[in-house]
Amino acid sequence: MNEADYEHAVNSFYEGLYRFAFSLSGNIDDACELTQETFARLLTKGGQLRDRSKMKAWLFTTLYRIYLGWKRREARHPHLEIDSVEDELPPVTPETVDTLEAEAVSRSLLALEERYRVPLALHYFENHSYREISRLLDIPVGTIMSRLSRGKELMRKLLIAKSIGVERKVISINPEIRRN
Amino acid sequence: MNNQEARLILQAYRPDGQDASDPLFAEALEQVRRDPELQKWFAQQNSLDVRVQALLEVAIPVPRRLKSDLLALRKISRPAPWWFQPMKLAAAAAVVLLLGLAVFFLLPQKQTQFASFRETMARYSAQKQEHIVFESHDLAEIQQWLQGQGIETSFDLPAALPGRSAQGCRVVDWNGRRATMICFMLKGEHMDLFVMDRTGLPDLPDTSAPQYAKAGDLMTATWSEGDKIYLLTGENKELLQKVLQQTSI
Repeated sequence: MNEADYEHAVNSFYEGLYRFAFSLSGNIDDACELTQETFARLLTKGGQLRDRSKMKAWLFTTLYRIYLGWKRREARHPHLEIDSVEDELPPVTPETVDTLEAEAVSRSLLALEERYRVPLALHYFENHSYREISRLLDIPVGTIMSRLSRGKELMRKLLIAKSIGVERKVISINPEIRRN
Repeated sequence: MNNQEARLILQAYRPDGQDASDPLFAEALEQVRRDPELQKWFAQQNSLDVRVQALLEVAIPVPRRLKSDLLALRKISRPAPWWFQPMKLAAAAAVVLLLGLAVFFLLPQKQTQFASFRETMARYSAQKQEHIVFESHDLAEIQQWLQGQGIETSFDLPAALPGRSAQGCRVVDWNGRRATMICFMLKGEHMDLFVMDRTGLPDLPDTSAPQYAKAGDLMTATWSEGDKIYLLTGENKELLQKVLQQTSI
């Protein structure tokens, strides 16, 4: 792999890869290391990648495989159990999302079970199509569609749950303190 | 197709319209055009997706240093690990062999056992062809492989060398004795850790504090613990110090 190709790959994909890595690992250090190891492998094995149009898929697949290798030895990512409350939650609207902090959205994604979190992260970061996600994760298209649908539903319900929690907290504290 | 089925399919639709011509969405999109309620739901979903996508980008900021670190990788890491480019390495192996012979003949004859061990391990570390014999990122697999070679594996790794940075291992020889070599690639930095029973090195200083010394082109850090001698090789002293002091590199 020549320098120009490598630099192009970094410029084009490092942000999406880092965010995907963060959605997998849930912390900055591991996300950086995953991203770096992915690009280190591009440097060492990039010669095998003859079709440069497959660079994006290769990088995301490689990162995911590195993560799976890590995961064999590490504890599973914790997730929230929301099934017990989901039926009581009001519908999600764009206005609801507007009132939420970006961090709450990210936490909702990270809180999902991995089978929903991974395809959803790929869907949101770098705009992967359902077919690309299917190939990347080696999971049938129908399963991916169903996980995207269920994942979005769960994530939005988590957002609403957080939104309600925030509202209650705001009411209970002193307005003076809120300004600080 | 009913609305429920259409909704499931349309959740995979990307709001920027890239999927508009995908036949899989055609029927669901047709349903959207026919049904005002579904149309309203679909518009809302797209709007939500755009918003969530934007918020996620804000929520997960990319560390400022990451890009420069990644671009630096091509300079600080070897262009291609040797074990992946065997075809290119015959010439390099010949050079290493010549260098090895030169070092052997030029070194003072009265070299201490400890210095001899250090030089030999550094040569293994610099060896490009068949640098490792068993390739794995999993320390448990590496341990299992070493045990299969009759190596006793009850030694401690520096805590700053996470298992996932391991690349593989081999068993090397020093004066008829066997030493373990585990290869690591941590954030683009190549390091090899050698472990051997220390009883064969009577002149080894009895210290757990690492001793740093240059050997060939590499820096080495050597320390002992229990009945083992440990030797770590890397590009420079600063890198080895960071690893041994358990700080992030």
